[in-house]
Amino acid sequence: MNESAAMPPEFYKLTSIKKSYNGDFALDIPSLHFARGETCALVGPNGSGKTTLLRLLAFVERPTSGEIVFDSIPVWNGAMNQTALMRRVTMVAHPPFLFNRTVAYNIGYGLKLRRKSRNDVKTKTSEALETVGLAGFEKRSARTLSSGQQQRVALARALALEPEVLLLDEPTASIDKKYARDVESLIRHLRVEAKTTIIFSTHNYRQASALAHRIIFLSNGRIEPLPYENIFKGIFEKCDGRTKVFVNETLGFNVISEATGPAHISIDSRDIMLSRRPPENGTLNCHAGKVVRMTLHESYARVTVDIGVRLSIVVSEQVLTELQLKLGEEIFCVFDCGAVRII
Amino acid sequence: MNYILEAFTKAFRLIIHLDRELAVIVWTSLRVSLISTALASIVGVPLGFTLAVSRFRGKHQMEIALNTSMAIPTVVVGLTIYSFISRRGPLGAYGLLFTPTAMIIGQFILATPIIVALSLAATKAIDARVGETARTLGANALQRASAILSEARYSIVVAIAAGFGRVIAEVGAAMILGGNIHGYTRTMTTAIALETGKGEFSLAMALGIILLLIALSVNAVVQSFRLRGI
Repeated sequence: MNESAAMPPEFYKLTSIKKSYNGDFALDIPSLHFARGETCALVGPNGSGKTTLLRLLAFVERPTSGEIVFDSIPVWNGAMNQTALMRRVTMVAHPPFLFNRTVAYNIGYGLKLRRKSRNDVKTKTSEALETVGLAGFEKRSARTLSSGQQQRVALARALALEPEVLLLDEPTASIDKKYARDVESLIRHLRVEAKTTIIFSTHNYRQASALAHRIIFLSNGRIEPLPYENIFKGIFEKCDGRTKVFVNETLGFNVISEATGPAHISIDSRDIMLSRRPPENGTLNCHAGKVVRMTLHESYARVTVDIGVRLSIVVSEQVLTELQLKLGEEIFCVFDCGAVRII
Repeated sequence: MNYILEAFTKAFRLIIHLDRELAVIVWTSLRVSLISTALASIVGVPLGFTLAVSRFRGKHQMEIALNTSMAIPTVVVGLTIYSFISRRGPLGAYGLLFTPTAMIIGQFILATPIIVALSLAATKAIDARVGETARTLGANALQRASAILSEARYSIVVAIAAGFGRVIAEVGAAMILGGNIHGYTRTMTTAIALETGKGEFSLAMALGIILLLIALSVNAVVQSFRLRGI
């Protein structure tokens, strides 16, 4: 998540954004920036404003008030060439909409608008379909595909355009697990190789934390502090009469739960203590790891420790001074069983 | 009963032997109706689309008026145009009365409300996400309109076919404005009316059969568009 700190700021700059529909308030964002090349996840319950924010970022909708600046261009000022601006950004809606034509027509549509040659359209269409695992689907009628296939065609249609910004509304919502993993790999690839700015909405915290540099939590149309940190997928098992959740083959946390099978857990960064020595109380979770990152803020510091998974821990400035922490040093992360929450 | 069978036999003979008089009547009908439908489509489809996507006061009332105008009696249209283009009328100097041009004007007025109203309904029935999707893919206003019309293409073809159906089968305006002049403004419908009046059922029957075949062909073409997914 801290990679974004190194990115140039303000590719998108939203200031005092308000959006309402027929007087009903939908979104209120005093200030929000997105950096070029950033991958950002919008997380929040249904109706929290994720889709509305994506639509504003796609320039499909105009804010009721406030200003959006994209790459130093004020978006809704009369002088701008909106079509030229929109061709730099592509959004895949949820559920996606496909034209009542062939798959090839759907994917080639945006390319033809950009006056690409026939050969180019054909090549890019095939490549995009191959990327989403639908090679050879060119001549199929788009409306006869399953919802998961339609979602992937919509994604291929956006990918073929190679946009600077890719906005994805719940990109894995209606596709099965295998292809959801493929889509996640694709997002990782775009983030690392193509340096595409990706902003996606999801209900899945694990997906958000695994893919995004930054997670924005929306609730009732407002940006709120993220309710969950240190999110891991684990498997609950009984060991010596205790319940443990294993987040990898060897690393297990003691938890207060009777749950079994797979689940997502989170550990609040403020519930984890750092110690030079392991505690005497054996019921606590205590894991040794290496300090891999430290970020200083005004009154606190955020320390990332690799214990087999990366734990983000918030400590006061005083604790940091006392511990004299240095990058690469070994330290114990200690937290109570109750700090591990199932989400 | 015999005279009906006899009329049928004669009618088929006229069709098979490509009777010249029959051919001229059919050609006049097709030429006038195709031109008037094409003109009505050029005006009606964009107008229907614009009315569907724009918001203005009185839109609902306008839709009611449009739907009503689809049922205007052909003779009323014929009479109205007649009053303008007859020698005493304001456009009398142009000498349009009893010409194919006058018939085209009349049929244009008959077909346009149908094409406008059905294009409007076709556009309104299209998912609002068509324009929005086209927009997110980089389409400008004209390209978005084209995407919406393309999505409504079956219904638009049906609208044009309905307009054509209305004018090819009408008799009132063609009779009043064309004058049913032999070899010049005589159409299938005006000829059927004339020949039936004279008791010449065979030619009337032959023209009736051709009229039905044309209607059948138009519907077959529309249906083939749908089946081939064009």
